[in-house]
Amino acid sequence: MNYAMSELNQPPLFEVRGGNFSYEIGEEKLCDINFAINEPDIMCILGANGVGKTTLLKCMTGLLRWNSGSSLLRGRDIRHCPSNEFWHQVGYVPQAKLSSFSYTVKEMVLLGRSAHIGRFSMPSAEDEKIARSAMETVGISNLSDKFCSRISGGELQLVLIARALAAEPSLLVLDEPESNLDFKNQKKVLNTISTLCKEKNIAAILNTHYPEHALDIAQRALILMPNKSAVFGSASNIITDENLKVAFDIDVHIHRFKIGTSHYASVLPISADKSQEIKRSAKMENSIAQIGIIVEDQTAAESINKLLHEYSEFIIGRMGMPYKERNISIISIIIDAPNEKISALSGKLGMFDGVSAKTVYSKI
Amino acid sequence: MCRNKIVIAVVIALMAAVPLAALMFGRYPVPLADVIGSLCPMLGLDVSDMSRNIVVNIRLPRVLLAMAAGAGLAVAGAAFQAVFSNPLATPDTLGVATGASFGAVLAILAGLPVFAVQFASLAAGLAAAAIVIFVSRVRGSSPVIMMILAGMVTGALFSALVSLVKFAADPQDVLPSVTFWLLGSLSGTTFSTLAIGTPLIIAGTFTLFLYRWRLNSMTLSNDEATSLGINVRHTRFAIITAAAAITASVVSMCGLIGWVGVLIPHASRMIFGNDNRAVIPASAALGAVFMLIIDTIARSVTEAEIPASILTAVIGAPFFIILLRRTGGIRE
Repeated sequence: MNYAMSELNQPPLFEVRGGNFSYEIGEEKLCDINFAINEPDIMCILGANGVGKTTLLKCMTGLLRWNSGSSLLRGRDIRHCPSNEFWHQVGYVPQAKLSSFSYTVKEMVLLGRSAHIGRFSMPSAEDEKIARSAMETVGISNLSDKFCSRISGGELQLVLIARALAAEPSLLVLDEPESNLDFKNQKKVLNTISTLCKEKNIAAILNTHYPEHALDIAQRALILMPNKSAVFGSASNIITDENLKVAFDIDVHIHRFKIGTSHYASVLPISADKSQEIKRSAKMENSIAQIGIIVEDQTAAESINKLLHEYSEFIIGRMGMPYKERNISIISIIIDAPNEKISALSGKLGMFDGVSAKTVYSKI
Repeated sequence: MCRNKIVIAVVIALMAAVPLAALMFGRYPVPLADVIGSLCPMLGLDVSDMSRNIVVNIRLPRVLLAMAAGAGLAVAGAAFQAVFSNPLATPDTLGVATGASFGAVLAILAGLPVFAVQFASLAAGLAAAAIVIFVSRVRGSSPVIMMILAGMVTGALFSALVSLVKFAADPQDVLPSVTFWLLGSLSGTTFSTLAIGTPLIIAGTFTLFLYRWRLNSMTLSNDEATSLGINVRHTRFAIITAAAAITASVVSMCGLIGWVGVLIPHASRMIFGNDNRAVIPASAALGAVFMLIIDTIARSVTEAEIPASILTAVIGAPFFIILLRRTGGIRE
């Protein structure tokens, strides 16, 4: 990562040092928060409901004041930075909510230019152009004349991201950008953020309820624990079964797998009584399983052979039986491998057209 | 867009035609030629002294006041609706109009001359705004809901005080003039009453006109507006002060005139959309024309004047309903 290099030359893009905050005296909400982020990294903030994720976003951006500690933008305490100048650099994307007066998408995105426009001035043609290009960047140009109240929740979220982008910030701060969206729109919003950061070389800090999303797009993560402390580090290092269990008070299992060439991770909550059992089986090095495969499309046979070859070191037995009358072949494999390998293999087999596969795990 | 251009052209034409018509109509009709002759003495048209006197000294100040008051109230209403992010806000949401009317009726009760009534009214209206701003300050900031509550309380207080004055007033002569004043009227306007009242209306309206784009971001939540790089507290204070000054000035000259501040901004939104860059100038123009038509009817139709606030509702409500039906309502 180009992290180390830039750190030599200049302070990190955004940093929080020793942040403490309480709404009521004696009732600490956030305690000793420390983190730093550089472009083009994405940092996810995780934590249970009510632990202070939104409060943290507000404190770090100065919407609420730290009781002690400070936020630094390029090494400069933001309290000494005129608010207008600060919001040139930082774009804030609130949770999508409509105001009482609905504007068109174009008008809404244009509001993002406010920090650049004097209090009595009107947006210029240049401002309109920047707003238009922000809409293009997130792919909502086609909505430009629609009313914000007449578009979907996912589209509204993209509008708010475009509005923040119109200020041309180097840091985006997003409050649960993907909550209340369906699968597809969640993915769309996350991909948009991820692409933006890479292409425009900006950093992003976002709150999320989904550890999976953090594993998907974030390089850094900060987990707020129920005891008010925070764990900060690289996403893959600190988003672990153990940390998530402490943070959310529920047993979880992080399941990593590969489909095609892409790696995925899913985070599964495990019901308490079964967790011991599953932990044991997850810890167990290997399982023995039998995979039964029926190949109806002979053109797939070659790819299946190739795939099985990749797993040859784990395969302890293999039987193939052509059934000429119906033009299918039946393959049976006995495999002794780590659980992950077995589920990956059966997953991949299931993805071929004209192939059915079923895996039976041994109980030992 | 093309439709908008036509609408704008129509509004501009109305801005020219309605004042001329208003100068012609009345209990003593004056022909158009005489109106033009009186307004432009350099044309050398032959106008009777009587006509000239009526047009220049009696009708002209009243026409100017009606236009200033209508424009001011409509713009103040639009601004209050934007800062409070509430379509139901009116120029009286903060109790400014009620405060101003208390100042006026108190001065009438004391038997003070017209100028003193106007000053007392203006001062009481601004005092009401100051009370609201002071009361709603919580830990250095003024949440919108606190301002609205403080406004309601201040309004209730002053309206009780107005009732007290009515209760104390002599029912033979003072009470009718208090009641008539409260119903709103533009009668008795001269250039000198205009000179006291209009500067604040013009200054306030101009300030809000300058803030017209900022008003858009003021309708967003506090944090959202701050994150756009706006100093929400200062901006809100400036807008509220300007709108309160307009309201107090209008009430001090014309009494309580309801409806204009709600009806005209919403009509403008139905025609031009919610962008305040269009809503503010449109409200000013439509407000001026609307108020002038109301006042012309008020003084021409019957021998005795019809109070303006009755007409704004009687004429305004059906007009608003027609607009509501034809445009499909407010653009949510």
